[in-house]
Amino acid sequence: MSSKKAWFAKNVDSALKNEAQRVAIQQTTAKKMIARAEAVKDVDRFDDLRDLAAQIKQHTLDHLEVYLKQFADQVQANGGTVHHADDAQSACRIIADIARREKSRICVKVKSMTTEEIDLNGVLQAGGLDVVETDLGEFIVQLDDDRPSHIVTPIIHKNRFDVARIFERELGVAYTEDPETLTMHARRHLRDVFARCDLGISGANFAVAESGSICICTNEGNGRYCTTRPRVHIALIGIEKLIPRLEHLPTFLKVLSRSGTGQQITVYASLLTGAKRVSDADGPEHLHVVLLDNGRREILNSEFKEALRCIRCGACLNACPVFSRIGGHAYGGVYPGPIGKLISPLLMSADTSEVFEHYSDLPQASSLCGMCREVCPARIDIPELLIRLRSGQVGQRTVGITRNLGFKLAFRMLGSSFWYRVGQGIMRLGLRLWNHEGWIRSLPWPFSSWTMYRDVRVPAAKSFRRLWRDSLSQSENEEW
Amino acid sequence: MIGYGRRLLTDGHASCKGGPQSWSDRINRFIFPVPYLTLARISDWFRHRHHIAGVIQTVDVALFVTCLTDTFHPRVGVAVVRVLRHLGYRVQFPPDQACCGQPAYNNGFHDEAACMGRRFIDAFEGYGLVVTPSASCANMVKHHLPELLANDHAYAAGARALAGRCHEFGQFLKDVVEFNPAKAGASYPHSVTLHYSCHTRGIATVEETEVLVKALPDVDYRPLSRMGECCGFGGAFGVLYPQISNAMSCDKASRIVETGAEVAVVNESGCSMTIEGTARRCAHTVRFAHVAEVIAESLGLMSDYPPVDDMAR
Repeated sequence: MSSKKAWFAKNVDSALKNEAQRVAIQQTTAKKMIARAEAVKDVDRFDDLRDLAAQIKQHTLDHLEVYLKQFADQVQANGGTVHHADDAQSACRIIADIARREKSRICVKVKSMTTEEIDLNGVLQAGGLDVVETDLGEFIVQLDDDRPSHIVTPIIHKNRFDVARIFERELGVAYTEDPETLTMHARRHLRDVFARCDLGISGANFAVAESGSICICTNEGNGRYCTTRPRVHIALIGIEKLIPRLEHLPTFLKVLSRSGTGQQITVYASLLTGAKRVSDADGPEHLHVVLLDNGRREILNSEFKEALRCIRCGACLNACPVFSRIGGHAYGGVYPGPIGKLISPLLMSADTSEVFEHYSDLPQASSLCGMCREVCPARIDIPELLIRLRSGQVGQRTVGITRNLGFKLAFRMLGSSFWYRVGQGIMRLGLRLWNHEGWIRSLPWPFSSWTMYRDVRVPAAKSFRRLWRDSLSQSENEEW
Repeated sequence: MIGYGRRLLTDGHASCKGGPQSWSDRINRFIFPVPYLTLARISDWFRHRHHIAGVIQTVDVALFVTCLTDTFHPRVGVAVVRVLRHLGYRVQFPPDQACCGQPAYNNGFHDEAACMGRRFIDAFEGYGLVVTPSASCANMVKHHLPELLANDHAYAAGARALAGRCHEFGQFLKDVVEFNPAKAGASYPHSVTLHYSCHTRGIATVEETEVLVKALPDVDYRPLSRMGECCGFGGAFGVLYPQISNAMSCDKASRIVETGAEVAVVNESGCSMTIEGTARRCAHTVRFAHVAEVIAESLGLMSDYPPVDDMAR
């Protein structure tokens, strides 16, 4: 049992030891939270806008099949081809087949967590394709053979010294820590790739059912290069990315950038509709849209449905006190942070027992502080959903026999006022054994982990109940 | 009387079933065969008889003291009682109260939580307004109990009613009493900082919580940076993931120390237990106090009960 679960403890251990990484993450997330607070101010009643965004998404999820059909029809009407992928393997196969058919050699990619989810790069590279990430952060991740640790800011765990070393090592440029020079190096390298590429792969921030359009938000303009320069464009879209109409898009553009990065709007918001038409000056000759399920329909029919409202803005990651301490890699899945705790296990697991066993630490490792709920633009009640996962663990008996019995016994006692008083008495007497000037420095298992880092007050000599009985209730009698 | 009859019908073990018949359940039931026919139940019965006989007068405010305050910080409970009495309320302490079920609920033990919730509703039945010095327990009673018992015919209405009657202490002062410290003749010539406990979310915003402390005459209020960030308690989280929890508490404690305030005001026993314990391990000597203690002291109600006196009493 413990070996199956130990991965999380190990990850946390190494993350907390990595001081430089922790500082980098805490600084960036704090900065983003301040930027968010500022950006939110210039919208009148931002919370109402969040309500609206949540309602639109919820409505779309409630009628997902209708909108999926409408979207697919529109894409086809615009000259695109639609593919449906049930799982990661079939999505990879579909995309690899297209690449082979089109005889692609160099593929450029827009930042996309969905392609990370199905591990597309690995599959395409195994097929002999040259895959290049063009988002600066993802480019650095790829150079370093690392994994993104944040949904929006993939290299949040690296500082500029790390980046300088990576560039020196992988691109053979002179060592420099100047961010601007480093960016220029990346730019020169990527320009060359853009000139030669023949396949562009993107995800989508939003997919508009009404028009069959795909919306891609970037800050670097690489999204436009990737989706217009190559001859073929493949868009991998999770089925939950749909919104019904174009008129709904501004709401999402407003909340997405403000929540995630504190920008009023992302620098580029590209709306792509169909393949190149005869009258168009540029654009891809072929557009393929791959609609990915990969466990999403299962979530749709579960009590975790609202998690699919997520627009991947990353606000909950920036807000989360746990994420800012342990970083994204500790979560052991593609999607880190509070939302990742929900969707990673649900999307990546073959069945429910894996959700509850392999990923059992994720819902537990939360103080349920509610910061994620406070900032979520789609109003996902993440703490509540985590509690549901915990409840599922209890139901599936993956909690561990000691904890299960211990908790059940404790809760039975706490619920009855007689046993509560008995327990309180025992605890008060017991804890006094470790009394050290009114404080306790160490306790035996299972409370030892509490006293590992902090002291505990010795319980008061008389509980409030006792004080009430002895004197407080009488003083009231005197007054009245 | 009707209330009591209803309880007789729905009470006892039957209402606690619903979970799968696992061995742990069976063992639990073996240890607590008839958990509610205890002294508390018998005293409960007497109380209700007295009610009918008119021996006990109607009460204005019932105190829900919460487990942690009861055990570790009784001075907070005393402060609440004294402030409320000072403001002209009659305070009662429902003797059957135990835990509201929050720890069970948060850990996913929803059957147990529902059980605890039912007992809790029973304990507070017949009382009017309920005030508690804990935001997280208030949150449980106000938001989660009604959801948890929504399908329980016998208790759903009771849970909703209790949710409406239950107030967190600070919000009770602000919304119900409309307490004005200056008019009440309060004075608190100390430097204070405030930690906003996470479960106050859904009850009051950071600004609303700050108001009470800021409004104290003569106070030197020093805002805490990132005051809304979690202190790392989180119930079982603090025990199961001590390293993460500690990383959070250390940051919180050092930010509190940085403000240089004499008193750190925390409106939650769990938070103060965590931060105070961490600060103490790092040899910091900030005094932690509950909002109720600070207000009671500012009104001169705690002169006979110094802050460190819990051990001596």
